Amino acid sequence: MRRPSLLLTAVTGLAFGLVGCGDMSSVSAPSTTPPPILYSGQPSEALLQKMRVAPTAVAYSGVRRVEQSWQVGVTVYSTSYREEVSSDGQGRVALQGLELIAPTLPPRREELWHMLQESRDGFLFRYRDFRIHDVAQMCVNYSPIATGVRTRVAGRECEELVFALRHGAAFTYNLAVDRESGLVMRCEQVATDGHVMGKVEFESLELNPQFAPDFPWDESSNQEQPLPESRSLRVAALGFRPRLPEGDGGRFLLVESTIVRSPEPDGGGEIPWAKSTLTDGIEVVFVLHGGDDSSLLSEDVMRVAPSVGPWNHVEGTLAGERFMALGRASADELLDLIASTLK
Amino acid sequence: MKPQAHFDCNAFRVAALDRAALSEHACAECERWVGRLALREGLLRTLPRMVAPSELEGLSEREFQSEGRRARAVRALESLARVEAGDEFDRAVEALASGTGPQFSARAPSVLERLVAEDLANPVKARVARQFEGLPRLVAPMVLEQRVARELAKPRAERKLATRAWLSVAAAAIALLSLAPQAFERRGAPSDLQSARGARPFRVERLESTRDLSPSARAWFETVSSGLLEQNNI
Repeated sequence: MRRPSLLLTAVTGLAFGLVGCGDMSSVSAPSTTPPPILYSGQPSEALLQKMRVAPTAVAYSGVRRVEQSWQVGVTVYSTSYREEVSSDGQGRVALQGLELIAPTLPPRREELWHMLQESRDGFLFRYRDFRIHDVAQMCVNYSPIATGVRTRVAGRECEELVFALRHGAAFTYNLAVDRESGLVMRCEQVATDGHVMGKVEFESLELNPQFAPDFPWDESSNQEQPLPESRSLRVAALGFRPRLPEGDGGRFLLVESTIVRSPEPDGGGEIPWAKSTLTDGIEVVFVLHGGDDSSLLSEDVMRVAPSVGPWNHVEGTLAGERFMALGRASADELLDLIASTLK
Repeated sequence: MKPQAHFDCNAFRVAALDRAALSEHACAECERWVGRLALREGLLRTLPRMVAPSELEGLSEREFQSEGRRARAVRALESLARVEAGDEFDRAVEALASGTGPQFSARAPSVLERLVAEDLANPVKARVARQFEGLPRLVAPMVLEQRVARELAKPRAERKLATRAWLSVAAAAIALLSLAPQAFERRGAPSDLQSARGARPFRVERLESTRDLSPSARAWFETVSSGLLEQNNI
């Protein structure tokens, strides 16, 4: 759920005041004509707003090459594939794996990869790629820099931007952004040691394409429901009082809370979870609270999974209740978000 | 296919199921078979988990309870066919009843009776005693014996003073521990073993291998990584 608009305005003002992005005391809707982008050290607000909505507000179809070079334990694993990404500009999107370039798999396993990739398309579209989810919060946490370099990617004239976290160690994003549409045409995710962990780049792009009536748009399948405002309705819907993380004052801002359900580990039914979605403006993390956990010991313990590339996952039991947090943030930050639910 | 080759293929496929000796056998057909095996395994993993009927759990539980076991035993006994005793057995029983047959010892050895009585009186004590009675007794080191001897040789007042000093130190330590538990908890957390986060401290366990991931964590990583774990068998 969104915060009150007064608070948002205050945060917005503070954010832009901090980064000195010019006259950005109020967040305006993206204009239809692109503003002139000159080298000023920082991207214009109009471009940032355009980038925020472009993935779903622009009608386009294109082929992208995705490369990942992720460390798991002491080993670095590389994956590379091509995919087709489409949007009708009205909120419908589609992501389809076209070709697995590396690693080389036997034909049947590659078929299986295509099937599984199809089931992941909605999540990957929303959370894998670089995306500005909240401009004000992004300006609080990141230093966006326009390098002044212009480049062409898939025939589109692009502005090079760099996004680095203001405080703490995290990734740096090197972007090439289409000046006209605001689409991120190329994105490199660079680790603190300079290692390029991921790269997503358009090889071709068509704006305003004609889509067939039976085009396979992504359909959400996790059946999330909004968490009711009323405490009694929340308890009635979940069976327990949900604990939500406090994002105030920290890197992450609570965006919405929903109810999701997962199968019981023993397959005997479903566990309802209160799912909180938070963002620092770019990265998104999820904190889930699953109520009483009678199947485990009552000891307060959280288990931190080994990082898989930039992603982390923690889960465990606190005060006899299930908790889980996951996202492209450090395990310590995920643990802090869970701890904040108990304050 | 030659009979010998067929035998080799079968042996190889049994070994392949056990994930052993895969490289010792090179046969194109078997390689295809292993490929199909991996595919089938992957497809099986994607199948939805079948849920047993809810009443099955209750029935299973009742069956394993003592009442259920007794009822099951009665049912099993009732289902047995009656076995007729032979003539020889009948004659032996009749002889015993009339006191004309051979005499049997009807008493258990006294040691057995004593052990059973101990077990019934205090089962835990009896078990512990039985476990420890066979262990060899250790002798204290000579150095320790000499220190005790020196201590006992001191005048009584001096010994008392030393004891008081130790008691004071112990009391101070206990007071410190009870007054500032939080401070000790935080100082004692140089690593992630004990973490004092927010209002409720909790322990943090860091898993070393992706093999230890929970099903939910594995599913999450598979999604965000486009199947990296499965592709690389990690």
